[in-house]
Amino acid sequence: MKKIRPQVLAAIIFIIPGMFAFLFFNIYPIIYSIYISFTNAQLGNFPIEATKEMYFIGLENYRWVFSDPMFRRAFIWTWIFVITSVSLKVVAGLFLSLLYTNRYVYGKPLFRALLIIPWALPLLFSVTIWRFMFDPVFGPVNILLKDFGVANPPRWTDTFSWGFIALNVIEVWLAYPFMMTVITSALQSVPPDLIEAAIVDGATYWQRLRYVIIPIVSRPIMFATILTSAASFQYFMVPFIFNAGIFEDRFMLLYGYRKAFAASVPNYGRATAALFIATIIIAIYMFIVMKASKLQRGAAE
Amino acid sequence: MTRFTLFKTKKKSTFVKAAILTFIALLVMGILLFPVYYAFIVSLKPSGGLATTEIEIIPKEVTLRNYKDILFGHYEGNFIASGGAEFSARAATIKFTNATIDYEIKIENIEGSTQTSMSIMAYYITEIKEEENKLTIDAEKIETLGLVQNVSIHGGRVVVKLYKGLIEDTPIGTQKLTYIGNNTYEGDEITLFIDQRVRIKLDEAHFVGYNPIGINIYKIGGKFPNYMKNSLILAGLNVLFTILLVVPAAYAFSRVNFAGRGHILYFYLIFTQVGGGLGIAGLVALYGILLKFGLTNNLVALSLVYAAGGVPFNTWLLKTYIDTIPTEFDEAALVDGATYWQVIWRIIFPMALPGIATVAIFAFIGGWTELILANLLITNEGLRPLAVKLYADLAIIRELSWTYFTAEAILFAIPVAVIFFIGQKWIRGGLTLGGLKG
Repeated sequence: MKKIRPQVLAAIIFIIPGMFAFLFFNIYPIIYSIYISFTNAQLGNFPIEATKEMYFIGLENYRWVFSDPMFRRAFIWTWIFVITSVSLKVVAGLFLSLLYTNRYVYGKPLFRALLIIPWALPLLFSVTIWRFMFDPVFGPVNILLKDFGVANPPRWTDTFSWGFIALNVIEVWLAYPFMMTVITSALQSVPPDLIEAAIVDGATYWQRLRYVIIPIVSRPIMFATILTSAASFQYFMVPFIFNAGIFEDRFMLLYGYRKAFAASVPNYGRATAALFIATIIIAIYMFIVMKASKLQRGAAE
Repeated sequence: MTRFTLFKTKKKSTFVKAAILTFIALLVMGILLFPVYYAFIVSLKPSGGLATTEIEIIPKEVTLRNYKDILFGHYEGNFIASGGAEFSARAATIKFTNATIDYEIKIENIEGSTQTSMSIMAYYITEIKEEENKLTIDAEKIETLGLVQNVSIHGGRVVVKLYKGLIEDTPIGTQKLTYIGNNTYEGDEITLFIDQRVRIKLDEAHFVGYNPIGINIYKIGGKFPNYMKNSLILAGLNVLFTILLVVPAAYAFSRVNFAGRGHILYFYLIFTQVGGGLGIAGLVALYGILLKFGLTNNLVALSLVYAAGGVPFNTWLLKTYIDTIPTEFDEAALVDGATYWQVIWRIIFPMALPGIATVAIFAFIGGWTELILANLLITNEGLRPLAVKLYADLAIIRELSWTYFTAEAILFAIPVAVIFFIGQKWIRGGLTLGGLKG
């Protein structure tokens, strides 16, 4: 007993600084945010009560956010983005993995090593260079389109519908190294004997793919899909950097952020309410996803 | 015989397949890596050299000017030489236009002077000397601001392009000029006096202005090292705080069994999984708290916030790493009478170095690239890190140029890419240990 006591004391002393910093800068703000979402916090009474009084207003902010057509649109488009971007990411990942594991392709290790370069680049850099790619005047995308005879190429950077397409392209580009790495390692685990046997039986490439390879790699693909869908669901940084203005009513987190920090009259109460709703939706999704992915893992073993 | 032919065609078709598929693989990789490559190429182009009609895969003209401007800056300035001026330049362009005549004269190796007042603008000043009643400037380009009259000029090869009017009405006249077609005249060794009010542009000029007034010399660019310094402070302090907050805690979690240990670890793990969304949810309150405590525009406070946010993930990562170190080492040291701090810094720190390096690399990259909080909390221009500067510049890209911007972006990305590739082994090991890789 006497031997353990100082040890535990030391452990507590070692743990407390990190724990305290984390509680103070992460957990306390989250709890405080929940409180703010039930008040009339806005410019003038938050963070410092100056011209107005900050008081409790119950569920008013939540009612307001739920009835705001912009938030509803953000909710719907967040889902649409999850569906479009995840499908594209899976298709691109599968295509690239199949291409760069194909036995007729020479120099595969070199290709794969070079292809994960986007992984090493900071997100801010990647999105800004894509912003350049899609620049309406100087961007190579529109220069190429003009070469192909498109007289009025799309305004990728300041219209929502074209911007949404650009965002999907960017997301696929950002995610392909991850998708490709996961799917490639899954493909490499397919026993070569199985494929040889299928070839001997006269199966075509597509038949082999459909009936031999895909069933074996479908679990890791599911796993990668779930993880990447969670990333799509919390989409914030890329639209924020690309052009926050045109996406503020299309992504839930961005909607909340803009309500607080980019509105002409910041309304922190409504912003935190929106962010809290978005967080709960994401948390539910993550919870289901984590359960599902654990099931996947369990089933794989 | 048939077998032989069969074999041969099979080999041939294999070769064709390999050629086609390898070509496709190359093409796809080219498309995927094109944005990175093109950004790099564009950063090497002279400013204003970006075409709107064609994509230059291989640049015609390469310059490090953008990088030099960003890192060191250059001087520009204007003043009025009220007492006249003398100048020499590698080349000059003289333009005149009015209702009846419009011409452009290009002269090589020019020397000139004027007694009349002359207002100039100098770009890329390489040297500047101010004396009494005299200002000497060496610059890459000097232009007249407004017009100048009564200039005597002596120069080498001359090309006159006439857009309107007669060649007799130009200051050179027909003397010494030969017509080479297309309204263009050529000549050599010209001496002339221009009494028209012309516009002059000098390349690689040496300029002496007398009785200078309204001198206005200023630096353009070169503020980047300061932003870089701020980013380095943020990243460095984040590494320091992370190590201080995480190493002892990870050691304690790994070695000491105390009540609530499992709960705290589980709490950390859950937060690691849902942290992203929650981080933005707490942003408004965090902003409010830091503003109230007067901790905005404070790099130390900001890096502490970063380090605090990384505590759950990093503690987990390092704890799993320390778990792999046999307990005999530190237990023996403790029996020999070492204190816990000695055990941590003398035994755990060196043995867990790969794990600590992983944590440090993540902390450094995190501090270097973080944008949202820095953008919100650092409003003082002098304290802003690179990421915020880059984001702010993207918003005013129409006033900047992509050539300049891509150079900035590359300078921002290079440290991260270098650290990533150097630390790749550790990062991979750390990630596998953290159980985060599928």
